[in-house]
Amino acid sequence: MAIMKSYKYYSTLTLVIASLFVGCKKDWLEAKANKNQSVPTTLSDFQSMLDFSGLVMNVNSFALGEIAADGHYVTEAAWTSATTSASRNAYTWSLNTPYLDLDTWRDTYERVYYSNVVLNGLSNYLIKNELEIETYNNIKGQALFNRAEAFHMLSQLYAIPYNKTTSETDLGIPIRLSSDVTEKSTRSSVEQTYNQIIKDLLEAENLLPLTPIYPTRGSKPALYGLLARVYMTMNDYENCLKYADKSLQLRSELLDYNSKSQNANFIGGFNTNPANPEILFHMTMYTSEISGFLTTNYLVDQALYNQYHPDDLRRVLFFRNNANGTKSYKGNYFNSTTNMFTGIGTDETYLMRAECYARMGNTVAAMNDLNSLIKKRWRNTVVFVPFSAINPEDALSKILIERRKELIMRGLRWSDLRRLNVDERFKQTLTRTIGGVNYILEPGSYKYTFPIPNDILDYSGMPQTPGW
Amino acid sequence: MEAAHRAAGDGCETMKKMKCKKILRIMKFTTLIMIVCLAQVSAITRAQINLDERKAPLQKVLKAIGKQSGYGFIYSTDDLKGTNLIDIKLNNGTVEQALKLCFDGQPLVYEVNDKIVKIKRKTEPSFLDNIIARFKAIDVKGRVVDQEGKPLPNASIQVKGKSAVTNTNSEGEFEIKGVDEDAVLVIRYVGYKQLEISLKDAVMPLEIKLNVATGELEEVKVVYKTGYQDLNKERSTGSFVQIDNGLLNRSVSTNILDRIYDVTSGLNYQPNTSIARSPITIRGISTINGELKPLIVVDGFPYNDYNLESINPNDIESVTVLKDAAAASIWGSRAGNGVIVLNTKKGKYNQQTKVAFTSNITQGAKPDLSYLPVMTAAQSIEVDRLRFKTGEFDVFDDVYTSIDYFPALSEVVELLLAVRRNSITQAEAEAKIQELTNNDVRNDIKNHLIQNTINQQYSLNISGGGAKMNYFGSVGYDNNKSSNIGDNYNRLTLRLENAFRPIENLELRAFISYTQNGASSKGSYFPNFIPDGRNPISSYSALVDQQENALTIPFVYRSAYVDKLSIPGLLNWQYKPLEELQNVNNNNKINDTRIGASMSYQILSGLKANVQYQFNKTLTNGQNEHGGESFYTRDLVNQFMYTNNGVNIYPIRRGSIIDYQNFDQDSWNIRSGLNYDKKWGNHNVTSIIGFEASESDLNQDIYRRYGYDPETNTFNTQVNYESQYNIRASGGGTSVIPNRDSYSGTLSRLRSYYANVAYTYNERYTLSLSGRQDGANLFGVRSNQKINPFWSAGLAWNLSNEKFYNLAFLPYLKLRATYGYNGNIKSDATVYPTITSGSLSGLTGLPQADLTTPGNPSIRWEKVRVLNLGLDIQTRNNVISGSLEYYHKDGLDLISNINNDPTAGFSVYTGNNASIKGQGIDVTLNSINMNGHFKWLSNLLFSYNVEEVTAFDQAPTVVTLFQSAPYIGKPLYSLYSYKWAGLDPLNGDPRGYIGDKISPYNTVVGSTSGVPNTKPEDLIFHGRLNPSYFGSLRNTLLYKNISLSFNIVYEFGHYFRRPSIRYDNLFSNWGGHSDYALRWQKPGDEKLTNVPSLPATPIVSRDTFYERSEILVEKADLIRLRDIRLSYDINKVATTTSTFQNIKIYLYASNLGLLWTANKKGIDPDFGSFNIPVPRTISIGLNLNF
Repeated sequence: MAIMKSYKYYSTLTLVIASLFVGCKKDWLEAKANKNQSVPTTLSDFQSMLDFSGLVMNVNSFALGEIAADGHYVTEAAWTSATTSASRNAYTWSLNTPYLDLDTWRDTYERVYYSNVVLNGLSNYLIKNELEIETYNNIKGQALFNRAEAFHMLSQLYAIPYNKTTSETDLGIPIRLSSDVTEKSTRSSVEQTYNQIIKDLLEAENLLPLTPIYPTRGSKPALYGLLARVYMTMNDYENCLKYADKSLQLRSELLDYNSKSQNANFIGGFNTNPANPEILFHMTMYTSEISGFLTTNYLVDQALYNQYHPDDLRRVLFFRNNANGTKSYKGNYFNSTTNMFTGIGTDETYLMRAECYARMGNTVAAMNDLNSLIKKRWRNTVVFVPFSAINPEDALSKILIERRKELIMRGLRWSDLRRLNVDERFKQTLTRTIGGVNYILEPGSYKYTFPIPNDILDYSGMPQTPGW
Repeated sequence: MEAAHRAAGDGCETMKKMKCKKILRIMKFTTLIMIVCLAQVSAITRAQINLDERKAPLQKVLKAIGKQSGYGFIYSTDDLKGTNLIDIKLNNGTVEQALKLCFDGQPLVYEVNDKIVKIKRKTEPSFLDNIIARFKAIDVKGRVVDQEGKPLPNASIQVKGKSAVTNTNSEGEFEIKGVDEDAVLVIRYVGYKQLEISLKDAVMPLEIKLNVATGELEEVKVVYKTGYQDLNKERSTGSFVQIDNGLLNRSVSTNILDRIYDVTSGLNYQPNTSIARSPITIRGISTINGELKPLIVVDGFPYNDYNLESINPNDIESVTVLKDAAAASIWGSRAGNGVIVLNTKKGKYNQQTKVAFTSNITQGAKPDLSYLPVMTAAQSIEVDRLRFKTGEFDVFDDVYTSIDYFPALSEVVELLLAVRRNSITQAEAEAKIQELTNNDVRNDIKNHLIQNTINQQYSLNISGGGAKMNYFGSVGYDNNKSSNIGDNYNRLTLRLENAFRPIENLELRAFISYTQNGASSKGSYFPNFIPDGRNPISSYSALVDQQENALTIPFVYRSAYVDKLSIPGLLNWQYKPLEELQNVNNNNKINDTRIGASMSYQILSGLKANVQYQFNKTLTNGQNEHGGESFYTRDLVNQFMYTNNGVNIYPIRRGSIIDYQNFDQDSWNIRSGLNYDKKWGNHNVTSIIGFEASESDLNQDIYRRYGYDPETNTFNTQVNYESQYNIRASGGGTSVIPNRDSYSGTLSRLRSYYANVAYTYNERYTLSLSGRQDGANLFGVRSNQKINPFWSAGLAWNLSNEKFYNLAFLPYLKLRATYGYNGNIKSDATVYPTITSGSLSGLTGLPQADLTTPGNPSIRWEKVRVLNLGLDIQTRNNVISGSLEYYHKDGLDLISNINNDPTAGFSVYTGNNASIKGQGIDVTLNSINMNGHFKWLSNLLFSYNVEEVTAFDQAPTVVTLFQSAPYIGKPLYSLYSYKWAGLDPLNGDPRGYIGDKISPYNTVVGSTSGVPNTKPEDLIFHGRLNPSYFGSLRNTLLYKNISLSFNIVYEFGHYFRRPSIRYDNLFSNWGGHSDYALRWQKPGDEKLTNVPSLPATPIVSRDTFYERSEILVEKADLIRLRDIRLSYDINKVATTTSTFQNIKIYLYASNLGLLWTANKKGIDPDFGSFNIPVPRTISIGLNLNF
């Protein structure tokens, strides 16, 4: 009887043990099934993903906005022969079907996804030792910075321009924060969009290093520059000033254009020798379907060209004289004829701080910043006469003109048009004529927000931006 | 007469057993077992009684008996008053028989005591008698088994004269309380002879053995083994097929699965899996990218199908195939394609040692090369001459062209070129060409590359057991010589299993099995020399000369280059196919070891706890040696060899190149659970609940060694895989030394909880429910945590057990219905995002990683939803029995590519989004057509199965449809073609249609501004690639000890594409289909033929259009004579002096060819025109049991 009892006991015990055996190990079913499948799990995996710079992480921004902005034109023949409707529609602020601008949307959200996979991976990562903490933080900061940059770029194309009074209800962009591709997309409000961008950047603030190995990675000066840029697009000049200043405190070096050959095809990028010291963060705009509009076919408005003073080196370094007398752009901050630089540079932070000072009424500080920049653009064979302004208003308008001239083809003009539209002093109406049809873009038009491609709406059921 | 013999035999056996029993008792074993048989008779009186009376008074008859036997009778005459008159006729009877006849139906009882017969009146039992009876009542315990000692669950046991019926449990055990100690038990079981046992003097517990009613005529099997439990057929609701040992051993094969094709209802076997299909499907296919094969289970644990050859078929007792949700859902996530459960042979308790020996030898014919329709030598020469004339080969006039590129040219072209450069005379060339005309390379293949197959199989097993333990041990050896010369296969299997009952209610089992498989080949594969256009060889090529010496054929490099090559240090670069046989050695060894143990303990009556564990290690060692003299090695050495300052450098060293492939797999399974089987009154419950887990860890190490030197047993360990070398005769190409090293592995883990319950009321109504929850490391956390169970519910109604049921001709009628979900797996779906790293960023030079797949944390099991309606019947005397089943089988949540919202970051990901709707019918009919001395039995299987894709995210294109991509609304694997508009009368070009307009082939296959001219909906949809109707008809003829059976199989409702000439292949490989002869040659031919003309230069799209046109689509319907078996049994009865209990000798012939097929072109649709049908085989075999 005793034996029987003990057998009963043992068999029951075996059952219990067997059940516990697997039940206890929670991650038992988490093991990788295919051992060769590389699931990103290590810090170096995550960093490698963020360093996938040439095809995903540091490309594909603002191209559509640049096409839609002013200061340049394409010939009617070039417009007609464009292979897809995306560039034609962007150029004429239209929605002629089929409107299949998937490239910009898809590629930018792919960048968001990379960042999300990294952030998700980091949240499950167990830091092994003290030494890893810094690397971990750096990577996390980069991912947040990247995501914010991508969201901001998307917001300049697809979110309604920021308006404090209506931002809670204005349609923003879908905010995707998960690495689950099956999750449904919904459109956030403009307020939510900007909140997320700022939240990501503020979180990254204390994680990023002062100096990155390469400016393809996020850094503190770049982060402050981006924050300033974001606040500027929100017409929040107080914060813009704060962060532009912070950025300049850390990095303020400018490139003396006198050091550049007039025959150069580019100004030079972060990876040229010598490196362009102005670059805080490297990013380019390029999408295959619209490349022609921004490279071979892109012709600069003569009126804009004429604004460059003969002693201004940008007149020769930024432009190429074509045989037929037209002007093409060549002032790229990167050694490429197809990938135009849209990253953050010190020239931009100077101009942002200058504009903010002017708007705050500090004419002297504003003009100092402006002159610091222009001095480096001026031919050193002549004496540079600093620009001056009689009052803040004068300073502001001068700074805005110089901003347009300095930051040509940097993906920023579209954002400037969007924000300056609300100001009676700077609003303007753009017109284009193609095939005998006049296209007009009026200030405050719904056309300042790009329509969301139909496929995306079909997939997600999200609403189209009103007007389209 | 036969019955009498058997009865006598049983009697003898019983006596022996009783002696045994005494010995056991003396040895004080705690459990005593007694075998009781109906024919048991006590002391037999030898006196012979002869009586012949009609309406005689009892007294008179008794006097006659007394006179003849010398027995005395004591009775009161009063007692005899009013007794019945007797009709009696007895010749040479016994006293007992006579008495029995006299007192049958009389109100009297009698008692025999030493030749005195006391007679008295039967009395109604008094109150006191009843009290006494109570005291005399005993509890009866016992077990009912079949002839082989296997328990018979649900056998009915009735006390004679009482109405109550008790049934045995799944172990065949029963218990009846308060039975009169003189009572007689009647034991009944379908398919077995009814047995009556007197309890008088019986020893508890009873071990009752039932005999099969009338041999093979009766339905023997009744228990379905699901791998988790044994289910009584009477009380099952699901769809099962049971293949018993007799049927398994009907055919001869090395592989166990070969024995269930064409005898399993609903199972379709396609030998030729040219498209992505499983060779074996059960009830069709209900997945797109998932696993297609049924789950194979051996003794309760899943078995790797790739390792199935490790099973010795002679170790398998029976096979159960689980087809519907109720049957298979206990296997949960892996049951979607059906489950094949293999049950190994076991030892039995209290069984004398039994030895069985099996041996068979199978001889197969050589593959029939004449089946292949290839061009004749003359035709190939004709084409060579034509092409030569067009100037196509003018570039080869210079043997050493400046471009260092020398592709192989056919022999005739080389001869013609040689004439032109005056190497030989025109006459010499013509003479040689004339010689070639008489060649047919297929003759050389037949004589030197193929052989008759010989498969030998031997198996010996021994089993037996005592009261507390049993054992089964076996050893098997197979040796197969394949039709490809040099290919050999051998297998050694060992298996030992023991069971113990150390204490009451506890059973322990342990087994170990070991298999060693060895396959070797000489690397030559005869189909590679068939001049069908797919291999670079002409019909006129010769592999040997008149003296049978191996000859060179052009291969890779042109002969003119190779023959003249005079670079010092370069190895001979010629290719002699027959010499390769001596220089290549491929060996593959698999060692499979399994050990397992289980324990089951009866906790309470009806409640059992089980724990089962199994560990398996499989080591596969493959070694392909390209000898130093093999073409492969010489070629590589020559390609890389270069000269530096007059020194020959060999980046690839001379010596053998050996490719190793080592797989190492460790896996384990554990299962623990509770069984509860209980019967009370009219209620019967059978249930299991448990948990299981398994892990399989596979590592593959593939590597190559260069420069093996057998003298020193060394390799070249300094291979430079980094440098780029200039490659000789490559047209200026460079290459690194091929690196074959790779290391990879998979790990699969599965964790499940399961429960299954069946409740039967009154032997009429059964309700079954099952549920299972699976988790695997193939799926994300989300899926594993989510309760996503597989479940089933079923109902069965034994209509014939109802009181109102009165169809005498149909004594058995049962209705069944089940519904539920099974699962399926796709192992390469990714849960997590995966990256590809290793490259450097062009921008920064930093290592970068590309996200290749997005991963899908929501990915989950594919589901297969099955509805099954079944009807089982059996007519009187079993003349016709069978079942009819109708089912719906839908694949849901199928894993496929899904177009996704690009906002997610990936526009396409893998997920559960596609679905398939399927349905079908399975009919099984067994009939006894003649049942006398000469018996004729038939077994008919008929299946219908179709399916249709109902959801699939990727839109088809014409190109994908020709690759059988899923298309909503169409069967999963469909055949499409271009509409045919005949040949162009001007030039013999094939033509099709654009809309209604006859158009040239290049317009049909072409595009207009990026949009294809032909859209998916413009293609002709012919139908399915796999049959929608299939089955078999097996007839068995029995006469005395001779049995003859043959199986005819059929398939209908599918299509195939017949090959024809492809000119692009003809141009590059100098051979092709014999349709060449039928080609269009001059205007007017288009009325007679559909074979396009020979083009001046090959045009791939032209050949492809023709190949995909409707003109080459044929119906695949066929009827095939699968096999014939003739066997002769010698029973122990016939040769009492022999030690053998049973000897069986048989002849078995299989692959006997088509009886009929829809196409009239001599093509076996299962093999198409370019695969040779499996040759006929004939086996002779012997089974000995002693």
